[in-house]
Amino acid sequence: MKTIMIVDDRPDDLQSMYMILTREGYEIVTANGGEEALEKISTASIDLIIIDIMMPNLSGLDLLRLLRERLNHNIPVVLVSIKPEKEVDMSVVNGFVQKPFSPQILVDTISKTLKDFNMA
Amino acid sequence: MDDEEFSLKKKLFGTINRKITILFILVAIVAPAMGIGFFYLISAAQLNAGTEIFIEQNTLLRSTAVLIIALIAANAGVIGFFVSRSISKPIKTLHQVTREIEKGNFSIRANIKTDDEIEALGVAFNRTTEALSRMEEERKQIDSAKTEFLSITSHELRTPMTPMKAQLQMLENEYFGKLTKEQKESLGIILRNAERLDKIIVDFLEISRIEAARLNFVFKETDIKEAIEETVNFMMGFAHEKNIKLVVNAEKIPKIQVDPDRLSQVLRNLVSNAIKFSDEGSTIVVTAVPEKNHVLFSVKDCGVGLSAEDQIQIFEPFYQVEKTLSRKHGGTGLGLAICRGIVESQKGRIWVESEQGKGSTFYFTAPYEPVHDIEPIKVLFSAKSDLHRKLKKIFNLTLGPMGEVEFETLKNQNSLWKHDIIQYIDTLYDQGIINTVQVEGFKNDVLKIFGNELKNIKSMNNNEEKNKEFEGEMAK
Repeated sequence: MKTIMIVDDRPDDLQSMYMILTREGYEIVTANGGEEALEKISTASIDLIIIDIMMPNLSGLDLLRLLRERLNHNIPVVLVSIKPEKEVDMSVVNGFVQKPFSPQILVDTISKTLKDFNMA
Repeated sequence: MDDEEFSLKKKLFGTINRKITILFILVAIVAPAMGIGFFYLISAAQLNAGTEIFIEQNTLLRSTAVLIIALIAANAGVIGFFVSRSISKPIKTLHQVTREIEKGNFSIRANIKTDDEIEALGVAFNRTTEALSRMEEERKQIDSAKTEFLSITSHELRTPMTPMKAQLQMLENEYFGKLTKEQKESLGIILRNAERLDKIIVDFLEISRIEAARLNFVFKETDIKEAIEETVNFMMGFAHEKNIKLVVNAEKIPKIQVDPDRLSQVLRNLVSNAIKFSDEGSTIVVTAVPEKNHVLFSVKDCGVGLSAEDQIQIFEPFYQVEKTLSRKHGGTGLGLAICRGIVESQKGRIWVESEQGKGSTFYFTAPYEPVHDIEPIKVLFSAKSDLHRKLKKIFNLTLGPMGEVEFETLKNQNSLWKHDIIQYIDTLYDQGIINTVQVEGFKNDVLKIFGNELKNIKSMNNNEEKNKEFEGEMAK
């Protein structure tokens, strides 16, 4: 079963995404910020990262760059943000979920991103 | 003017009175002195020649007198010119400075160095200007702080919505166990209102961006007809619910530089309102017409129409016509205010023409040349009092002191609506109080305040014919 890492500095958002995705059968690794994400990235075999673009201290995209450096292979990334998609730099990520999201949209986007990535 | 100095110059020329007095005394002395001196010269030369020649010299005397008078006049003229100029020049400078200040330029200062009362006036004037300048700075700071605050608060206010919506939807979808009918209903109410709250906050964010001139526009070469059709297709679903037909009239529009998302945003809002206020089975027409400097868009419905009061207030934030109807459709009351902000940020105009019971047409313009330097647009707090203030000014300008009295009278009669004022202006013309030219100007000024030009009033009379055509079209 696929393992997803969720990086978000808002605990309630983190927990909501956790609840929705564990119900779908995914293994979840949570990170309440950049530091925790960098610690945990190497401890488990991550198949997809969900990352919030706007976090204090380290911006989502900068963190993403660092995380990708730690990994020795390429994995799909889904960006979540309260900003609309057109205001976001999508060039380095594979999927986008706008906050606030409905559980179904989150689930569908994750499964589609995984599917597209594995087909490629 | 330094009171410590005790120069002779100051004693003689320190006040305008002394200036002019002394200089005119000079004139009175110099001019006749010149004249008499000249006369003496001639007379002295002639007296030696003998009395026979005296009669011949009479003519010479007369011409000499004329010459002397001419010289005195010229002399007085020259001195008078320079004297009065020494007074009028600094006054003119002061006047020019006031005009600059009127334009809002508070950094200008009057540089008057005439060493008299006018210079003192200039100095006092400059001090007043400085005070004005400080007040303006303060006002700008408060304004920008307000906008900043609005933007930050709006953003923070949105964040709880994410977990709220996620959890409520999970509950509603029975993730945590089966629900009774009432529990589901209860969750539905909470979710709906949470979403409405979020929408209001999003609109507020938009407005704060409009006020701070931070609206983001992405201009692209756009096929207008396609853009309209795309938007209309998007709205088809809502129109279908009430069996309403959406028609697009957009031939011969060239491709122009616009932000298609913003255009769509405004159109969606207007069409959504049109659907809300239209009856079942009616038709809504979206038109785009190329004009000289812009494209004129319109959204026409055959709904309930707007009263005169509604027509004025409708672009105000939170103003909602028929509140129960709007709330049912999740309206926030900010849609038209935002549309106005978007349209006016591009130096366009947005307005409505309507007849109660017949329907409304909303118009807006988009320029061929997109505006890149966006100016802040005041959307919030531009209340009715702003409208009244502008009207009062026009009344004063056109009718003089009588204008204020007339304005107050109309206000007390609750006649400060567009049509009432136009009728009032016609009455003034009938009574001969103002002439044709003044009528044109007065009406135009008033209409500008209400957001339309004189030609639109005429077009409203033409609308009678257009409506009959339209009804014929609908009957098909």
